[in-house]
Amino acid sequence: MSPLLSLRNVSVAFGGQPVVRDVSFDVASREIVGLVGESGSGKSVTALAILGLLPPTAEITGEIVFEGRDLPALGRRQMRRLRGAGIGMIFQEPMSSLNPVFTVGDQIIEAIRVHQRISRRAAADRAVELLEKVGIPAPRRRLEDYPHQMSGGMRQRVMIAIALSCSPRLLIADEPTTALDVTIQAQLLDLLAEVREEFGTAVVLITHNMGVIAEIADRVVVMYASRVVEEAGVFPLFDHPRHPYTRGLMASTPAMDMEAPRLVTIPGGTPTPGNLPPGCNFAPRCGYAIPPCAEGVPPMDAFADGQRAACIRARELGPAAPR
Amino acid sequence: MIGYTVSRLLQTIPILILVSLIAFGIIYLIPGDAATVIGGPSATAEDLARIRANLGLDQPLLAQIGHFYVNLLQGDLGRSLMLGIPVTDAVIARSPITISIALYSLVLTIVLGLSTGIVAALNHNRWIDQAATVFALIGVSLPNFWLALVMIVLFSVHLGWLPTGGYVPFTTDPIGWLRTATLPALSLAMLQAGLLTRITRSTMLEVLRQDYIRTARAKGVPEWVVITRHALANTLMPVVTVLGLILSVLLSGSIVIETIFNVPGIGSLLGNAISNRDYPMIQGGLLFVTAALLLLNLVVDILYTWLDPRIRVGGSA
Repeated sequence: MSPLLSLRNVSVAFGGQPVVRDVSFDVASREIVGLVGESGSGKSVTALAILGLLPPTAEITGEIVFEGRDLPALGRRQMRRLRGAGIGMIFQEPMSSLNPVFTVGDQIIEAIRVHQRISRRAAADRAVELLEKVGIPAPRRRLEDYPHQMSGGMRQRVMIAIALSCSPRLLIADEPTTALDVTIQAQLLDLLAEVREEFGTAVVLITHNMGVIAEIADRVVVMYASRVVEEAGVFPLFDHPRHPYTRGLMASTPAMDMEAPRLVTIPGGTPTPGNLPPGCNFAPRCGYAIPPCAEGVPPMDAFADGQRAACIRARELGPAAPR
Repeated sequence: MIGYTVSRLLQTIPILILVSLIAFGIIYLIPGDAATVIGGPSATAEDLARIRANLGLDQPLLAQIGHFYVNLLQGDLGRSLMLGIPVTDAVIARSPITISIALYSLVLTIVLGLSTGIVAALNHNRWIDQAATVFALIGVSLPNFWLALVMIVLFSVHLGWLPTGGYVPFTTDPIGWLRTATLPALSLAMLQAGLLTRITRSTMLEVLRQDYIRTARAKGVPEWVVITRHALANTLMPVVTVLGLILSVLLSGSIVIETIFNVPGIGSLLGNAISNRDYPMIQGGLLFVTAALLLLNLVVDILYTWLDPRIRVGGSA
């Protein structure tokens, strides 16, 4: 079966400066794919490129195929019809993602009526239904509220309701829980998992938090400095990461049962897009680096279990020992 | 919201009292004896006594102030020395002219300023944006009386499209009103439109960068709806705040403009009163203009709170 969404060698550049390079991954129907990486690794730009929401100055190359259609080749009108209806998106900042001068109801109803020819009253009923689904109490009354009358968690629920309003096949969630309290984070992750069960929506979940990934993702794509460095199912990835960067990420995620009192960190910092080292981007920070690492960008190496890693020493080093 | 309106109304009272005191004091700003100045060198002793009695200058100061306010509250601002009719009557007769031109000018300002500002913001850093910025800069820099004269030379003398001056009331002949009011309104509007263009442009650019604009686009809302609904509603708020400022400049600018175009409004009435030392008239004109400005600013402030639900509805979760 062909995947719902398929990225092939997608690169994005601003003014000749690439910020996303050669990104390829697939998302199947009903699948939750985690897109992990530090800030500046190109995760959000990749997401915005899928929806065609980057500023017109962005130069996008490669294929982004959604339900058999190549998105960058679509006309503005077709792309607009797809946004919201085929692919919904929620953002990191619930406090500023809703328009302050319109009521929450207005904003959900608008999302519905942009794509469906139904009356305002019917759209309002649907909005109440959606608010109920995302766990907002007394939804009928809440329609009249303005965003400033709601908490951050509530607003993010409203954003999810908006994103789900036209039953999209794919939901892109860009750091949906980062700005929220930990307890609210867990609730929202549960909600996203429920959404997949109930609506059959596939989810691309962008985050820098490995805990979030462990919670709900089926498969994980790890990005580092504008490239994909590893891709694997969530269990193989946590069990035996193959790329040294992923190993580092795992080691630096604190766990309750860990004996070492000291938090492990990856030495050095993420290179800026204009300042990438030659060869492997991670080589300067990598404990396993050897001279050839600086000579060429390592190709993706596919392993028998479907795991892929962009490291020339991945086979030689073998899977990392389970923690 | 209601509480705000009431407190805002109460705030205008001390300002009105202060301005009326200044208006009252104008007569004492005249060096020497006001009656001699007003009467001129040929005035007889009887004339001077009559002028003093007319102005109430022969009474004690406190009594004068008391009289002034008692009369003011009854709408009596005294009698014009120049026209020989009650100041109130003159102000009432002339004000519709000034108000109609100011409103016309305000409409021109909003249409020109908003549209240029929006077009500039949507074409950020392209030649249209630069042209609009230059237009705004020219509008802001040119003195309006100079612009008025240039427009008379161009549109009236050379092209002959519009009359050089005069005024036809809207109620007698709407087309005639439009012909006589356009040049004064336009020369007043240019400066304000330039100001408004700059504010609209920068606010719009700021708003277009906001997350909720990205949300609207992600919902699949057509781009023109994103601009006219989501962006404009948020752009208008700062714009409304400067409307009060714009109105005050429109009103004070009308003194010069009405004189140039020979429009018999409050502006030219006040201008003539000043050059003829018609003190009761100056007092009346000053009070009228101040009261009008206070009222307009009040309306603008209330409009602003009504536009912004964060103020109108208040309270957070």
